[in-house]
Order: sequence, then C-alpha cells, then structure tokens
Amino acid sequence: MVKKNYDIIIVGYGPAGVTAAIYAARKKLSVLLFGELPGGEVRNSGEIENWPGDGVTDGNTLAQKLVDHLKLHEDMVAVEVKKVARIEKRDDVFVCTGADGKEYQGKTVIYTAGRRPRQLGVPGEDSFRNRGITYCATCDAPLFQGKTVAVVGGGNTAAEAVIMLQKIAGKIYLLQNLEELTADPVLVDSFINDPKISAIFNAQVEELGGEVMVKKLDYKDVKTNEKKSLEVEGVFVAIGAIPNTEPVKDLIKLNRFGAIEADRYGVTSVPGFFAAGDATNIRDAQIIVAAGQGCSAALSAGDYLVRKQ
Amino acid sequence: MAKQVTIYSTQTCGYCKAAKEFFQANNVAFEDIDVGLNQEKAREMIEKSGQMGVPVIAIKDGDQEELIIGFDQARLAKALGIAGA
Repeated sequence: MVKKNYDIIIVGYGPAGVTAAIYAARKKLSVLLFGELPGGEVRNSGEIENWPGDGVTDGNTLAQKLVDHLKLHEDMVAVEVKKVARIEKRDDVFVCTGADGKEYQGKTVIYTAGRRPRQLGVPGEDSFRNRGITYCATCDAPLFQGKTVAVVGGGNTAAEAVIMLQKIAGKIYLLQNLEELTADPVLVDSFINDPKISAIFNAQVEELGGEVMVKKLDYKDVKTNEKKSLEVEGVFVAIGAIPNTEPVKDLIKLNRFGAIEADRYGVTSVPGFFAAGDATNIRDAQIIVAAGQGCSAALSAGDYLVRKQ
Repeated sequence: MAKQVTIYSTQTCGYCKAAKEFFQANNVAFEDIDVGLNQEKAREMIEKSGQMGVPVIAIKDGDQEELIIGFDQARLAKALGIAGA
C-alpha cells in the first residue's frame, strides 16, 4: 500500500498547531496533526484573561474551543492523538515516526510541540514524582488540602501556583533561588502579605526526601552557603519550561536552550520544515503569539508548496 | 457486561477533562470522582495507584481492574476496545 503523502504534517495540538491547521485547511491542503493533549498545554492553564474576545476564560474551555473549531475542518485535517518519536527527511519527503513505530509522510512539517515543565534535577526528584512532587498545580493542587507545601520558583507560574494553593494548603513555602521574585507585581501583591505564605530567597533546592511520599526538602542559602531543611508534604516545581524538540534535534538547527531557530515566518534551517509557538526561539510564550505564529507558518508552508509545484 | 469506568479527577485538571471528553465522544459511561472535594476517595486513589497525580482511571472488567494514570488516549482506546481512536 502506498502511504498517503500529506501536504502538511503538524506536530502539536495547541494554539499554534490548531491555528496552522485551520489556515491550511482553508487553502485545501491535506493535514495530519499529531498531539498528545487535545488543545495543548493550554488545558492546564487556570484562568486566562488575555485571550481577546473572551474576557475571562479558563484553559479547559479555551482548549475545547480550539478542538471544536478544528472539527469544522475534518475533511482536510486528520488527527492522531499520540506522541511523535522522530522526524527525518528522506529524499524530498518528511517521515514522521509515532511513538508506536508507525510512519507517516508529509511534503512539509509545521512543528508546534511546545514546551514542558523543567525539572529541578536534584536527587529524590524522580523517586517522588507524583508522590508529592508535581509540575502541574492546576491539576494536583486540590489534593493538598490543609497540607504544608513548597512551591519552587519565582516567576509567574510559581506565583499562580501559590495563588491556587492559598485557598487549599495549610502552609506554603515559596523558594526562589534569586534575591527577588520575577513574577508580575499584580500576582505577587495578592499573596505576599498572607501569613500562611513564607517566601525564602536565595534558596537553591538540593535534595528531596521521604518514604512513600515526599516529606523533606533540603536547600542551601546561596549567599551564606548555609544548608537548611523543610518538612513538607508537597512540592510544586515551577521553574520554567524546556522545548519539546527531541524528535527533531538531529534535523533542525536548535539554539543553546534547545529551541528551534525560526524566523518570524516560521522558516527554519531546513526547507519545507516550519515551526511556531513555544518550541521555537520565541520571546513571548503567550497563547496569542503562538496562534499568530501558527498562522504565519501555515501561510509559509502553503507558499512553499505552491513554489515547488 | 460493559466495563465499569471510574475517573479520579480534579475540577481544574486539563488531562482529566481531555479524558472525560474522550469518554463522552465515544459514548463510554463513567463515574467521575472529584478527589479535590472527597478526601476519602483521594486516599483511595493514592492507595490504589501508589501516587497522587490525576487523573487515575480505573477500568473494571469483572474481577479484573486496569489502572491508567494520566491521559493516554491510545491506551484508553485499547482498554475500552474503541477502534480507530
């Protein structure tokens, strides 16, 4: 059987991938879209107040709207809810191998696989993952009712985790490895004077310990080199994100952070391979920017296909 | 007899919502337990799965129970005998 050669293979089911698919479908280009979570990481966002036209919405609602919108283009867009293991270029065709070993072919690729939460990289982290250590406050915070928890990080994701836990946890330690928080002041103001929250600065997490579940967090004061320990029943890690670019690391030029180097039109180091959203060297990891880049990448891919004919 | 599907979830968890959307789209009846509200069921989920992450999906077929942790559509489709998903 001859494999179908799609006009565009899109990797990523978030705002960038869905937008690219909608634009491609409207140009009557055949699309195969891969993604593990319908709607993308957006689904795990809490409240969203900066998506124009929606006022206040939430991650789940917006993710479902993206999925439903894409369904209007079912005639042109096939969807595979699965992980992509590898993408190669063989002769003039891109071959995309799923985690299940199945191969799919496309004339072009739009890569929008986003980012995933960065790990601390300390002893104990893997052993207690989901045993008190979590990377998704939106998902798991409700399980920590009345408990003593630590949030590690100082940016907006950490601040949002603290805000979510404020109504749930009994005591919250916020550990930041710098001298101050980098989160937006509007977020910090809403919790910094809450007596249940203790912010600890210059704190470098060194080890996580426990028995079945996590019980202890060891850290070092980077200013004084003093080692300290906290008794905790939960650890929320919110120290940024890393691009999901492993499947293309041998194909495409990445920057030193592992992000795809793409220009404003989504053009990368390989002709026919376009990229958009948080997997790229984007400055603003925002839903609307990802969607806009997805549009540009789709128009670039369409243009590329026309020129090749 | 149809398989009994139980999902331990929280209201805000995107993976839980994606799993429930998948059940609904495929006409799979399921019991939804909010472990954010029900502490006793939260303990039950942790005991069953040995971990605290949501969702935990229990698919019971007679005496056999398969536990699926997290949202894995391919595995859910296989466990529920849903073709082409």
